[in-house]
Amino acid sequence: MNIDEGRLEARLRRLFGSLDARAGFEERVMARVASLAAQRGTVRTDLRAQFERRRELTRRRLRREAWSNGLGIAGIGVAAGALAWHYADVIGRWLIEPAASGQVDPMLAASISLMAVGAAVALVLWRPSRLLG
Amino acid sequence: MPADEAIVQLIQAGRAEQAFERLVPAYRRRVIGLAYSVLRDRAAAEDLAQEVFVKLWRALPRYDGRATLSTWIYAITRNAAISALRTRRRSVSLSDPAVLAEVENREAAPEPGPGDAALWRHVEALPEKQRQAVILYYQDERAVDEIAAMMGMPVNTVKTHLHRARASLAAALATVGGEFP
Repeated sequence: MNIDEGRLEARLRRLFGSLDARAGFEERVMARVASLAAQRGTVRTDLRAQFERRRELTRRRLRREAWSNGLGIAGIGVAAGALAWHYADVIGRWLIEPAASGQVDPMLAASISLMAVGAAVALVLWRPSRLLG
Repeated sequence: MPADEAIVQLIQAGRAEQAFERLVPAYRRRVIGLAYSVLRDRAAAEDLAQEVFVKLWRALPRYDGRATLSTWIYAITRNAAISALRTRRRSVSLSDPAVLAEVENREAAPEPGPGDAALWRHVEALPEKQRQAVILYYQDERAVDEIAAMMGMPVNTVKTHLHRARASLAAALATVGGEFP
């Protein structure tokens, strides 16, 4: 390295050696990050409140639907009971007498079995409480 | 680097906030230097460094250690600086006489001393990669391999850039000896 290059090295070190941020840079970064963290916290709280509101509304709607469905089923049950009571003679002749004599109509037995299976499946699947989470 | 190991351990322990508090002082000068070597404007480099640290703060919990911490930080800084430079080039037209006058008169050098303005003009005239290598090398007398990591290029390429830059500047020094007290 000749003398000019040695001087050049020293000049370049002097020129760029002082290259740094102004005083307080780290404090400014930390303040900015703290402000962003606070904003992020507020957004998170808002989202959580919104989620809770929606969840409560869903819970109420499902409860209402469960009540109306229950009332509907109870009504149908009462109507079916009243009809069975009213037509007890006919039902007795149609169902109980053949059963007692061991002569069950295959179509009737298949229909009753199908109804029982359908009711069981409906009971298993119909659980609005699962949607409440 | 031991400081890096401690920072990575904190991240892996889920203490990203504490890791960040250590990372800022450890990388402040390097991020500023890298940003400055691309942007050549001290205030812009500092603004960009702040943006880079905010990005790092957001990304730190997701740092997976696949790249070393320094390589990861340099890549983020380099990309942000190049992106900022592109934005500035789009928004500033040198055909505008007012902008041209401002560019010519701006105090580009970090801390100009006597005769430094002339030296800075020669550094400015160097090709981009040579200029970046010179600024990073003389900012903190860094090892060439660290500069290679900062610039994202092989060590030998950085050595070549530095060698050519020194030769150009020495030639300029010999030509205009009076400007260099």
